[in-house]
Amino acid sequence: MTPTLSKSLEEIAGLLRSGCVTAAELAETHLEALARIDSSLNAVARLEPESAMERAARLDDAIAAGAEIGPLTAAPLAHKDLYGRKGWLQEAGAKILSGERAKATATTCAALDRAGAMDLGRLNTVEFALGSEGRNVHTGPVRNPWNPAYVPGGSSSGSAAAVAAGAVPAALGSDTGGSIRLPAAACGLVGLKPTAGLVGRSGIFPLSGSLDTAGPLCQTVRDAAILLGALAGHDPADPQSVHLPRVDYLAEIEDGLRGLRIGIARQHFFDPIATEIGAALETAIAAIGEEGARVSDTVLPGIAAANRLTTLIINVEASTQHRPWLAARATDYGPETLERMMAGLFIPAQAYLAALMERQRLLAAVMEAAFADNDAILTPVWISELSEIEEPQHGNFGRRIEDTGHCTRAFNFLGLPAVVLPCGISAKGLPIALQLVSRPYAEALLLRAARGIERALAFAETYRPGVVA
Amino acid sequence: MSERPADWEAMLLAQGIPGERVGHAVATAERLIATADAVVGDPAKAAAPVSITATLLAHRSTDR
Repeated sequence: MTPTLSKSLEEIAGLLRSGCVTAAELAETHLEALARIDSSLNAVARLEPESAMERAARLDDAIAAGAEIGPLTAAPLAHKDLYGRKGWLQEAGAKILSGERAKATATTCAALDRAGAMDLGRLNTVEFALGSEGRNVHTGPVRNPWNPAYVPGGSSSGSAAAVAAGAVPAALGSDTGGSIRLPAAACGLVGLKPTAGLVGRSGIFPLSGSLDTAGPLCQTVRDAAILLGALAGHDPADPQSVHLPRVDYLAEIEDGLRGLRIGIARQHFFDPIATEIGAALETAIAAIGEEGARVSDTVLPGIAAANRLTTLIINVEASTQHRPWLAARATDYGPETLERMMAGLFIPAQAYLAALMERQRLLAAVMEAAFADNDAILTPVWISELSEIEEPQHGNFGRRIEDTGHCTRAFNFLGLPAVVLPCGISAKGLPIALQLVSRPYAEALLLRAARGIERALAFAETYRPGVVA
Repeated sequence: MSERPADWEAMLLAQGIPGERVGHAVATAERLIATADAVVGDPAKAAAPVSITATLLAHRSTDR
């Protein structure tokens, strides 16, 4: 069998088409790889080998009978432990949900099923997805494949670690304040947070109904486009879901950077920034200009408040949903999660509504100021070094999540699409990433820009993580 | 029925949550409330919050 670990979705589909590998071989290989990396990275919540092998056998039968092989046929995937599949455990990294089984299959998992993908199991998450570094007192910390002494980012920490180690080509995560983008950036991956409403969220354990989004972490921008093509669509069970025409996200993805207008949002986002991260961003910005994009500085007026207002909305909505547990089982939460949940209990309705109303006003202001003359905005992702896992945890957890989400949380508040991709490597051998943000529902343009940058920087051809499956 | 904020503090302390942690949560809440207070606009223009997707769709570009 041709090796399929550390390969992209497109590469695996090519091997399947050419008959070099079967769905059963893919399922077996990637289940084994997930089990193997788990001993060093703690990325896996649980595997579902019986279900996966049955699914693989059906796919192999269909292929033998002449079924068309699409880009996601037999793709060996696993997802964050928020994603429900009817009858499977859905524990969200939480002691409170220990032993709980999903009552329904998430819309997104059903969409991937229709596209032919396989679902191998669930990957570790920060407790209830309420954290940005990848720590979890119940399930233990997930480790970064680039250097296991460091955090992988969160809250989709297991998704990022499993994909970066090559055990699966892609995984779904969720992003309420950066939880796809922060771990993807920390692990040298592509992470896509779609525009609010584009991808249905029903069946995913919620954190904040106003801000939650679902999306992929994967190895290439083209794979992100393939996955988005399968995931985007109206979800009648999600009140935020929108009706929009289907888009082929690969159609213009190779059109390059020439002619695109990229605004560099230095104010707020680059202030402050660690020296080596800033230097990597400047090198990437120069390369973007050399590829033919027009690069100029831009300002997002009033953006600084968006980070805290995101925290406010998350804390209020999460604490509202968790109220029965907070009243009776507060000691069953990890301290980091509990402190953030508790803050929501002390925020009055007037402040919550003011934050929700500010979303509309700020979005209109940012569209006028920053997007009238730009196709995409570029920012950093992490502005300081990743933490070591053994670093003592103390201080105010509420403030800490705002520090780590300095560059990501504002775009949940605004609902805009954002993608992250690697642009350099730190002295400690950890990836450095940039973020691109675009206009509402302009994911095709966003992915074209990201693909242009990916091609120009050739990060994946240059660097490899320390732990691979 | 919703509990009043003061009741929540007592309920959390009664469950054995350390006062320092509850204090951090209260401090975070106060900081966030101050931020929300600062963005409250003209009362005459205040409207009920609508889904962000309505505003996003209004700003959707159809030229690409």
